[in-house]
Amino acid sequence: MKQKRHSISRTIIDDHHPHPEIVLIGQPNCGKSTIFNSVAGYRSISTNFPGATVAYTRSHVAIYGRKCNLVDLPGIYSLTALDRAAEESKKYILDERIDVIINVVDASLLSRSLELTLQLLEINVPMILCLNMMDEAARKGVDIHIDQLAQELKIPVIPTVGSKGQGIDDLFTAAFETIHQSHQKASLSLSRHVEKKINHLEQMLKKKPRRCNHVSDRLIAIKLLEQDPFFAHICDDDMSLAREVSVLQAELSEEHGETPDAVIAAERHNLAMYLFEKVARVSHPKRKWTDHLDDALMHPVLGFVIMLFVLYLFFNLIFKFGSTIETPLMILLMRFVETATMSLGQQSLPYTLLYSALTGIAGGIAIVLPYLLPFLIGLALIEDIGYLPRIAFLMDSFMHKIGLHGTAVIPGILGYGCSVPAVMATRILASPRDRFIASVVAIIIPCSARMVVIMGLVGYYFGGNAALGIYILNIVVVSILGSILSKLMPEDIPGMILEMPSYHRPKAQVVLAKTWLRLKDFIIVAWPLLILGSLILGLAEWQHLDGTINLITRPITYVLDLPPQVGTTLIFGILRKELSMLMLYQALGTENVAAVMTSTQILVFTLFVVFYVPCLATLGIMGRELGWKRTSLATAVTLLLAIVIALLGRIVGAVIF
Amino acid sequence: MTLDQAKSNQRVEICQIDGGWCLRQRLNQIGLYVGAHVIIKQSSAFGGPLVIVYNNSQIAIGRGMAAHIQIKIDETKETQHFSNDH
Repeated sequence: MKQKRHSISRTIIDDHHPHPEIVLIGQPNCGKSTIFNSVAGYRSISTNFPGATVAYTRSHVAIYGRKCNLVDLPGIYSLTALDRAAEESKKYILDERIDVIINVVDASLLSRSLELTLQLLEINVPMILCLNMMDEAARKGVDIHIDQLAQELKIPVIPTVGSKGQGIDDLFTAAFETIHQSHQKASLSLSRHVEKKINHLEQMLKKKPRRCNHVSDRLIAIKLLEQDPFFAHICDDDMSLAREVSVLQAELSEEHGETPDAVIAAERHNLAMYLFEKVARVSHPKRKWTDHLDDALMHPVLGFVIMLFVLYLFFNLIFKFGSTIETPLMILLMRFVETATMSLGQQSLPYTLLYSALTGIAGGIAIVLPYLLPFLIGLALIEDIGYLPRIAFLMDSFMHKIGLHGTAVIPGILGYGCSVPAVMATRILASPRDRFIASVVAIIIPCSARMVVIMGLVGYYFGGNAALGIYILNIVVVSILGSILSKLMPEDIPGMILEMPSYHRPKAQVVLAKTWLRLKDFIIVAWPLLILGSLILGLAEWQHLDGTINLITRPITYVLDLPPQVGTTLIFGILRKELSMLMLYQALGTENVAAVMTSTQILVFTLFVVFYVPCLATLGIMGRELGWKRTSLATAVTLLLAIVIALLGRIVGAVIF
Repeated sequence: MTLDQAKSNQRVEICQIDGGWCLRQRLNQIGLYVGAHVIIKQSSAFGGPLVIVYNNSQIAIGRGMAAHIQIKIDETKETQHFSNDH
């Protein structure tokens, strides 16, 4: 079977399957996405924290005129998947067509990384090893004898520095060459008595029909001994195999006084260590000033002070930048809209259409961009420096209070950018219960679209500190809700294990590319929607249909003491959150909201928009990630929460204003 | 004693992992297995996670999880920050 498969791929590559499938596999944060982006253009968000990629990105690329499909998989520590992101990678590795594996390795963590490499060698697919981050390895004093490593593993080994684009040419040249070679990877054996048990199972498996193409019987045998639940079903219909597995497991435990999985893990580890010591020399690391940065940034007291200062600075800079640009830009654009529509009769259809369309376009330029752009650049900087895992570390005790652990902070922080990647990022959490609570938390955190509303209304009319106040209130609400949810769904929290990666100097090019990738989503998805929404609302008003919608939403607007016209904007807000404010201008017929709404109403409206129903895109992702039952539950929770908080806002407003 | 009771700058050896299959796998995957030597870089008093350093990696580990790891203090080697323990 396996022979056949490879002879097929060898001959057919040039006609029926002209594009080979090249797959990047490696441990979290080893730089797979950086390498992917350096040849595929910036398509896969690369960051400096483990677990940034939670879904695979596949791209059709041409490298030196040779076309191929390049796949960037979420990082895995081993072929045993313990969370959803790793599961995704594992399924891909086992089930999809792969012509060559590029095993990306952080050279500075070679000994640990080799444990995954050893497992990948058991897969019947040609493979090359990419020793990435060679500069980091040199700095840490790890000197690797590349030829010797290649000899040991019997696969090509290519040194690279992905962030500087070094070695990428050689890497892909080697990858293309390897596709056409029959693969003779090394078979590195564990200690003899363990091998004997593996061989025994392997022989039994040989007699069974094969399920997946790539996976060798040897790998399945090892996984069965390790009690990996993913492979357990192989024994389901075969009592003699199941019996044999448990006999061998018992023998392993008896011989070593450890559980069978621990025995295999130790064996694999020893083998990796033996290889590492054979090919690498470790000398004293050169210290960099960033090594001492953690003493301050992760300090139990100072660390928090710095974190709060960083976040304060972050939001204030965005607000300052945005509000400085927004006002003159808005005036300019409105003047343009008025001039453009002047010649048309006020109540005519062409006037309504042109006016609505232009208002939509202007809204995108004048309101969203001034806040969104600096926010996205700031987020990209914080991500690339490697500060996010430090925040997760500092927040661990706090997160335990709300029934989660530190790692769950990462979806939360991404939630400040956009709820969609935030909900997806919950895949780095192991239990479904953690994923549910973290998702609810992530969707309540105001995304950049809601930031636009907060800045544009509360920030604009009551000042930057009031806007910051909304964020603080949000964090308080999130903690209360989190504690309630975790009380309702009690579970033993396994706790956090998170790698603290080295700090990296952010590269302007990468930061800009990432910002552009995220901004593009606004420009091609949200902006047309905004213009379309503006047109529909304009037409509805022209036809006097908006009254009906406002009547349906009247119960909510009545309870919250908001003008009835606001109803339509709230419906549009479910499409995209920023629409709720931009449509507000359209619905009220003025950009000067304060002329129509009281201060309390502005506050209540903002609070409601911040907390109510997640946008359509988020609902879609949540449905896929959590199932529709839990998504509906989360939606109901947020709607209820929004009404309660907006009502509180009404009371507070009545006292203050 | 367990890992969560260790103090900053101590060098310890992992003796046993009390826990199920998942916990063992999780710890093994990132290089924490019986016999591994790690250095406690930070163990804060406020119940926050510990930061441990070994084999060039730096890992934050929650206290709850650290409580499942049995250790003994290793006094054979001089303790130093950021050392490579092999």
